[in-house]
Parts: sequence; C-alpha cells; structure tokens
Amino acid sequence: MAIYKLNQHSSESEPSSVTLTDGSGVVLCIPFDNDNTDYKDYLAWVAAGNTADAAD
Amino acid sequence: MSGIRVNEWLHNSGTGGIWQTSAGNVGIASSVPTTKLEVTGDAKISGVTTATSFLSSQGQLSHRRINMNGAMQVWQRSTSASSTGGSNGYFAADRYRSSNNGSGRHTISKDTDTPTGEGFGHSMKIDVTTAVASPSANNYNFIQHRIEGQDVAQFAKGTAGAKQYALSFWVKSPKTGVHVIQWEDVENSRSVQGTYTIASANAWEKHSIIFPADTSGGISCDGSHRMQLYFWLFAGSTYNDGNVNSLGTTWASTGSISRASGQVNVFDNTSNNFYITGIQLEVGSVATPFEHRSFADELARCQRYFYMIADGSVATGAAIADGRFLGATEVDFMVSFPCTMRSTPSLYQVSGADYFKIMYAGYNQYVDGNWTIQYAQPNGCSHYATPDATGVADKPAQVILQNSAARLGYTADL
Repeated sequence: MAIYKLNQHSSESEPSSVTLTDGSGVVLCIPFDNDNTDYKDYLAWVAAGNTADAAD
Repeated sequence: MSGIRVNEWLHNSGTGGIWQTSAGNVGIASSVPTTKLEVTGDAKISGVTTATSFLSSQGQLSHRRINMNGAMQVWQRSTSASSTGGSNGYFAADRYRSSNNGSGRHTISKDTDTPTGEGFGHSMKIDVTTAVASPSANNYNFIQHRIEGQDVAQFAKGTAGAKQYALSFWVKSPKTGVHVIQWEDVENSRSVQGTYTIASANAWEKHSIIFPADTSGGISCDGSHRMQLYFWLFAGSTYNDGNVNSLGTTWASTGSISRASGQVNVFDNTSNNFYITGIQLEVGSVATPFEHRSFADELARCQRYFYMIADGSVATGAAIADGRFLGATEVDFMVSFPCTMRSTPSLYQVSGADYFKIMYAGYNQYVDGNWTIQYAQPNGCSHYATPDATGVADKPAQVILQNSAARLGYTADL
C-alpha cells in the first residue's frame, strides 16, 4: 500500500485529489493544484518512480 | 558680532568635529551641511525627540518585520508536538518548519520561558528527546522560515539597489559557541550564512546578523516559495567540517560545507533544550527593536498559510458547518476561509471512529474515516465523506466535531 491514494468522486471523470497517509497521525487530502506545496511533493514522489493507489 | 567662526571646524578633532556654515547650518562630522543640523554617523539621544515628521531614508517606521509569528504567539496545529524528526514539516508553531535527517527526535512546544522585560509571552522550545551525539555525514536538524517572493520584494535583490538584510532574535541555547543561520534564495539556489556565538549556556541572549545585499539573482514578485531562513541546530560532516572558516559569508551558489560549518551540536544530549523568540527580519543595515503585533494581527497573517476550523482539544461538540446528505451514503459541507489562502489548500485532518457527528432531524450519524476535499480554491472548498449508516438524500445536516483528538484544518503553507 502506497502512502498516497487517489480520490475520485462518482460525479468526476478522473481523480481530483490525492490523500497522503504517512503515519504522522495527520492525514492530508491534497487537491491537484500546481501552487499547492503538498501537490508539488506528490509530483516529486511520482517523478521518483512511485505510483499512488488507485481510487476506490 | 565677533568670535563667531564659520566655514571651519569648530573643534580640533578635524573631520569628526563640528562645522558651521555662513548660512548657520551645523554639521557634525560633515563640512557641507545643507540643513540646520546634519550628522554623519549615528546619533544617540536619551530624551524625547519630536519633529513635524520623521522620514526614514531606508526601511520604514512600521511593518518593518517581514517574518511572521516572530514572537511565537500562534500555534494553530498544536502547542506541543512530540517525537518529531521522522518527517519534515509544520508541526507546532505557525510558519516555522522543522527539518531533520537522522535518528534525532525532539518535542516542539510553546513555552513561557522568555527573556525578562522584553515583552514576549512565549518562546518555541526544542526539547531533544533522542540525542545524536555523533552525527552521520548527512544528519542535520534545523528550524526553517519560508517566505513568499512578493514579501521580500523590498530588498530589491538582484538589482543595483539591493538592500541588506537585518535579522535579530532572542535565543537560549544549551551549547556555548558558534551557531549558524543560513539565508537562502531558493529561486536562484544562492545562499549566504552568518553566525552568532553563545557566550553562556542556558541563558537568554539577543543576537543580530546583517546579511549582505545581493545584486545577483532577482526574485519573482509572487506567492511562491522564494527565500528561506535556516536556524541550524546541528549538522553532520556533509554540511559541517567543524571549521567556521569554511562557512560561506558572501552570496554564492548554495553549497554543502559552506552551509553549516562551525555549528555546535545542540542535539548531543537529551537534557538539551533550545529556546527562541523575538525573530525579526527587516530591510537595512541595522536591527531595530522587535516590532510587536497583536495576536489578532499575527493570527490573521498566519491564516493565509494555515487555518484550523475545528480542534477537539479546544472544544468537542463544536459546530463546523452546515451540510447535507447529497445521497443516502454521502454527506457534504462547504467552508469559506477567513482570508484568501496563499494557494488552494490541502485538507489537514486527524480522524478516527466517530470523530465527526452528522446531526439531522433528531438523528445522529458519524463519519469514521477521512473527508475528501472537492471544488477547492483559495477562498473556500467543499468536502464529502461516507457516514457509517445510510441517511436520507437531500436532508440538511449539521457537521459537529465529536472527539477531543479530532482536527480539521486547511494548509497552504510554503
């Protein structure tokens, strides 16, 4: 299980956010926004060869 | 009248003396005073000074402090975060980020230990809970303050008119000796370092560092992460060769050894506690007295980066928002933020079984898992979650925080 999991609402055609659960006790739900620091960290994680878990 | 000497030094100390012109202008260390009194150098007046107005030739009289939460007033996420060091981020004091590499662990807490008579109510305490007596090469720990490009525009960095940076702060360190502060231009990967030397362990000391102006490397005037301060607490050999002469004290490309060489090890013992408050970064060659702000002012500034809408440790049973059942298995609610956040924020949450109550028409249901953010933008967002039992579609509902450990907030920090 990856630390990131994509979120896709039933009304959406593709995921619009990703949830980070890193064991810190705080869960972040991160919107796909290029100015968001957490989203930049997610993109860097993906660029390092990782893949988020698919949305339910 | 005889005996009035003009256009010559009135004191035999030469250029350091007093000069009077035939027009009656007086210069102190100036032979060409163009106003009634002109002083070259510093002036110290022990009494009250009044004037029609004061015109500052550099910097400004108010809003001088560029960094936020310098007096450690705002702690929205937590007033005590233990066992930090396993990851990097914002855990306790607003706007001050903790970074660690290695096995060192510490508790960050809001403390009432402050320098006497300076008007500070709180400091940030770093309590070492897992020591690193012999750091590995890549080990380090530092406190960081990140700043938007548009908030450092007044330094005119990268231009011929670039200004100096005056940093001042109060600190109480368990270690005597050299401590390092790095000031980094993230946009152009340039850094300059400065040191302060602790004379007495475990005693409050005020220090200031004047970083040189940088005529290279312009900074974009925008809301992105462009510059950052590092308060180094220890560093392994990759960043610290133990020789302060290796430290880069002029602007240059961000290096490794040049970043923290000479830094003492604040993490070498679990009895070590490091305190800091009164941090002020301002334009110019002089560190002026700390600019205090009201709590409301400082909180509002911090809420551009983080907004805690509900904290169970403050109040359980607290209302969060009006919501509704979008369908039988989905509850939604919307929130407007108290100010425009720096970017579209992430949803910050601590959740668990029955942490959030959905109350409608005499019924209570609960959200056990996580909320998902949707339709977010810097002024507000929507959320959705699946309650633990089927509800009635289109029913209005109230969303209530239900557990003392529950948290719900929004983060758009740098």
